[in-house]
Amino acid sequence: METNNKYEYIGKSERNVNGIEKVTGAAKYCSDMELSRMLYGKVKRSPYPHARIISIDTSKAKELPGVKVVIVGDEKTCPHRFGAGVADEYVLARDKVLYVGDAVAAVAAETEDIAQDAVDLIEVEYEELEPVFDGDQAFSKNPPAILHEDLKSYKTIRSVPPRFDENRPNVFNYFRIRRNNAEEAFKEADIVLENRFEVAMIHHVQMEPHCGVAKVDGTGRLIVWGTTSKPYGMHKDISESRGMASSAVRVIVPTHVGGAFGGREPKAEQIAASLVLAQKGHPKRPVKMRFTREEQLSTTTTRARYIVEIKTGAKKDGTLVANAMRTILVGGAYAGTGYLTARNGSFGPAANYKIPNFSLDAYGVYTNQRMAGAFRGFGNAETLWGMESNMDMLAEALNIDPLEFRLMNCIDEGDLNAFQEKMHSVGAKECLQAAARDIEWGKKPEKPKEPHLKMGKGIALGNKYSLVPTASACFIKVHPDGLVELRTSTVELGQGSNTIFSQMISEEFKIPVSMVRVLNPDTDITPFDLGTASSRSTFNMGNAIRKACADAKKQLFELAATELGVAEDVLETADSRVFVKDFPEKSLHIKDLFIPMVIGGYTLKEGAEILGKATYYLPGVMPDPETGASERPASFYMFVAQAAEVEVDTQTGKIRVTKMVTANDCGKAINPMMVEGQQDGGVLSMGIGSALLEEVITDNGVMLNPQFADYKIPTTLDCPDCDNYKSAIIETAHREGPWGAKGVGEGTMVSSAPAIANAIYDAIGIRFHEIPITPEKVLRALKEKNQESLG
Amino acid sequence: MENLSLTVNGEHITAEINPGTTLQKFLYDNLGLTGTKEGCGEGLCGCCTVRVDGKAVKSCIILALQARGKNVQTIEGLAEGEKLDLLQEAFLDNGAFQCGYCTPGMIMAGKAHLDENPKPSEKDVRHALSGNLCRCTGYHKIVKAILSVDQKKVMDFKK
Amino acid sequence: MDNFKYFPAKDVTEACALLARYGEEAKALSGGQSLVSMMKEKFISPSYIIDIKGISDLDYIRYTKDDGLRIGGLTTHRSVEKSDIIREKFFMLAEMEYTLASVAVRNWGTVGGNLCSADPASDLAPTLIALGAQVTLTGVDTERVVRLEEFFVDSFETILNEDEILTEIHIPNAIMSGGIHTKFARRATDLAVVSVATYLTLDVSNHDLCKDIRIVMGSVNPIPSRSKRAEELIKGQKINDVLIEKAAQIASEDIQPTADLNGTEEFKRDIARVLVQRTIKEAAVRARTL
Repeated sequence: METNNKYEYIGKSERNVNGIEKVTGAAKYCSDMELSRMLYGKVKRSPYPHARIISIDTSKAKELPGVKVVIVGDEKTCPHRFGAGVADEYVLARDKVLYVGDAVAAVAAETEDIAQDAVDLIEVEYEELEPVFDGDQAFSKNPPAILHEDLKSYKTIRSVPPRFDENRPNVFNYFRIRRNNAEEAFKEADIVLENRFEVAMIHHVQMEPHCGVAKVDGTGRLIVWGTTSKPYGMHKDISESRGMASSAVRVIVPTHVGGAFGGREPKAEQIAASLVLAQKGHPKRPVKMRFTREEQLSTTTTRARYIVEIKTGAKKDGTLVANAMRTILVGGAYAGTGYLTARNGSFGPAANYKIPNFSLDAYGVYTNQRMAGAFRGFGNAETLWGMESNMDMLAEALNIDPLEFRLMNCIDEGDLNAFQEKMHSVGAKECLQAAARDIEWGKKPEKPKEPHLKMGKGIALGNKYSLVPTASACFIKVHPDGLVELRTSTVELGQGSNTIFSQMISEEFKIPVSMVRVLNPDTDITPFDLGTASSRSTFNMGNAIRKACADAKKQLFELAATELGVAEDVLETADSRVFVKDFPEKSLHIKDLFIPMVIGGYTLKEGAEILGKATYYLPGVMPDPETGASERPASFYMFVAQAAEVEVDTQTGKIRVTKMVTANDCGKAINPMMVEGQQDGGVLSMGIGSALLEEVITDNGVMLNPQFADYKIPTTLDCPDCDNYKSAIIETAHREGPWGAKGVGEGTMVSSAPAIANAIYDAIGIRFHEIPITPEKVLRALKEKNQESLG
Repeated sequence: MENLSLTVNGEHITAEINPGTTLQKFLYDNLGLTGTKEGCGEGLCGCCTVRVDGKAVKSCIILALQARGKNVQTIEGLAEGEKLDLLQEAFLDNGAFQCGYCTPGMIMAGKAHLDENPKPSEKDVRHALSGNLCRCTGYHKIVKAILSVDQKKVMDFKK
Repeated sequence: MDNFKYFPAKDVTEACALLARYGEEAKALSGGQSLVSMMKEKFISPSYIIDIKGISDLDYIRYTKDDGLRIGGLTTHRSVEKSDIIREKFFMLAEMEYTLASVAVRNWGTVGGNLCSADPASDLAPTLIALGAQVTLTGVDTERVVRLEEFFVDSFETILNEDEILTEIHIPNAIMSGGIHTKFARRATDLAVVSVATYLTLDVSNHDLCKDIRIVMGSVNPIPSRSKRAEELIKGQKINDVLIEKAAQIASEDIQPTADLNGTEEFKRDIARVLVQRTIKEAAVRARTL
């Protein structure tokens, strides 16, 4: 779709600028990298969820022909712990293993097969310790296992530090909100509903498994390529965990990364780096470490199991008066970005509705499972699953239509959220209205063909904040031939950032998208960006790009003003020319500002190059530790409403999503086709998958379904037909956003599961408190219901 | 080692390979055709889909030796020189890919289907692609892209 | 999985001779859509691979009015799915093939390979058993024809001798008959959690009477299995909903499903009951109209 607007490039569905490579098979991913004399790495992993390492015997592995390096977790290989917020993880486990799959040793060999054989020859002696998996148990004051006895002594990050709990030794972060007095206010409510909801552990299932390639260059510098979404985060992890000077490490991310969705913690890269550094003498051979599909599914970060306890009170007329929540992110052995997820999952409930009395306690706890970290929605799909289920139950108890109930209470421009922040750029109402329109709310579903099929509709509201403090920096280089180059550390993960950045630059320089180039992230070349996360790129990097373009244009106009004999402020640029605004014929080509030199090349008399640079920095205001109060706890909020129509087979329990609609408020769609792409993937693959199909199933910490046959992501046949799926783009311009834009990706699945579950309730009158809602759960619940009605 | 001779993207190839080499590994490692990706290695994701004598197959669960004497087409062999195939154009026009990792397999499966069934229904297309997993797109734009090709052909014909 | 010797067999005689020569260390490879994965995972590590996929003599679909349908063992699933004569005369077989795994797997995988791998979750086996199929097993100097339901011994185990390959599937013709295969799986492309194939023949003189019926269930026992008790209940009877419900209940009691990731035993029985019920109903409708 094309939205109405006055821009030449902004708001247009331009083709993906990296598309030709992708459709012709030319695109090279990290896993496609080959360097001469490359070695291949494999990891020895713990078979136990919790155990002390007694001894590791690597002698047989070292003797195997073709094996070049064998490393274990020791002072030399991994002197320091690292982590996004809590430095709690070693590259290879030292002393204790904390989950099934924890890396204890690694091998680099001539081939992957030899490396694997060598790994199998490593003998590790363990002393098993009692593990803890259950969230409530791990959270308790006297848990069956404490994962990190020395947690308090671990290094933590200064910006947004984690908060531990004196009495609960497995808690790695605690966050609270107190707005007025929820407990008191419940007394004034006519109806109070209290419920507990959970979500199962799920996996991102990026199509490209994690991969790292590392080498040491001629000057002794460590260069690491990876599949990371945060090159500077990885840079910090790699240098700090080894005590290396930051300038001794260079991180490069290839132009093509096979998806992230939050799950790119840089473990493969870390191990590759260790396997290079452990080699004796010079030159050291490069190492590639690519996870297998099974490793990817069974050992890498997940979306955690989440426990959401929610109590909501309303007046008879439907006005919400109070909401109290306790959420527990049932994390893994290491906190990773999960430390922030545990905290920030509270933002969605805090900003969905006008609720004068609000309290929330959010915890993240360690358990003996692999790390649970960021996942599209960053905790909010989980917390809103609870909130939006409870809201539907409340609407029913009040005998108010669920859509009406949400429209009455949803937050609006200028309202205060639970942080007591004045909301700006709020598309909640419009999203609800669009979703209701597209699902034909109020109109009964078509009568099913068979009596055992029941149909129903459901709707849910959600929102996703983008984080502060935040910063993005970039360079804009204007080449003598007029091509404008962006140097950014934003990672093109498939979401299309390279394309929309190109459109932004096209708009600023009035040049076709083909005259823009975006370099891939490289910490030697591209400046700092916080990371490709939190749907922050369009807003943050977009603002940096606008500022850097202005800087580059200023330099351009200074040079041209001298050449043209006019003042700088009368100049404009388009089509690689600089011209006088009122006399466009008075102009010159950008190349004429450069002096061609003998032998070759171009120069400027001064200033070296036309190189614009800028930082967009938004510190925000840290919430008050006791009340969460903050004028600016987030950059912006993206709103979303989703509605589903389902068909339930009451004989088999099978659920089919017959219709699905989504409406997302992205501020301004820089490229509507790519906004739709985010909506499609969020709702159809991850929304439907998480609600109905997906679950990491474990037994004593061992994943039982680490193959695509058993970890079930939706296929073409699990999504509704094209005509039965609609995506609406709502544009509630943000005053600070570039062209009003905010973001989109993270908000695309935060209300999918409750919309589907609410539709299931409408169809069969059964309320599910845990996703995924599987046929067996449906059938069991139907049987129980029948027995109840008979009894 | 075994001798293998076959045609890949129109070029006659002879090679000596280990008998356990899968077709995917042969194309990717021996010939450097890295568009044929290994997504799972057990025939469940479809990233490695190529065409053998026109038919879509999962190259990670086929021995390369079984392609002896056959005509193999990979994603790299789809465009004619600079001219992209209509389906590749349709993927670009429709934004039918994001991270792109599944895209070669999707296009090869889609292309094989279109050659068999030039005017497919949506059901046909969804069915033909049901063995190809994508995590980014929810398949919506992929299905639309494939359905759009037929209309394009008709339009070209009218011209 | 590089540690094997590879022999492409040009005909059945050569294939059998090679299989006989290398005995239990050898494995016949047709489409390999299960075998190659199993070798990659090192579940099995044969020392000799006898590649029979190139034996074009075994890739055929033949039909005559008197003899019925004959399908060569190396015919692909896709050929069966697309065959006009199968669509016309044995619709349930083509219909089942349309739902088997994915197009790419059907393009390369063969019907003989599917049966010989003896996966309890095979969709093909219950369908063919319901249709009353027989299979021809050819060895070095032997050829025997057995009823398919006697072919399976245990999960992933058949009566095939070391030198034998499955060369042909034969399905007899029938009149006033109809059938359907249906499966329950979380996703359409998944292996069946429960599958049921039912084939029903009506009495030529009285179209309300069931002359014969075969109810075959897959994925719920180590081998595809008929519920003869349920069949007996219906055979010779006038078909009605109460009877069907009873038969379905009995059939669901006749199985021994194991609890796994796909569900508990109780759940699988519930699903089997529902599918048996649905397939009998539909088979009866088809028998009248086909």
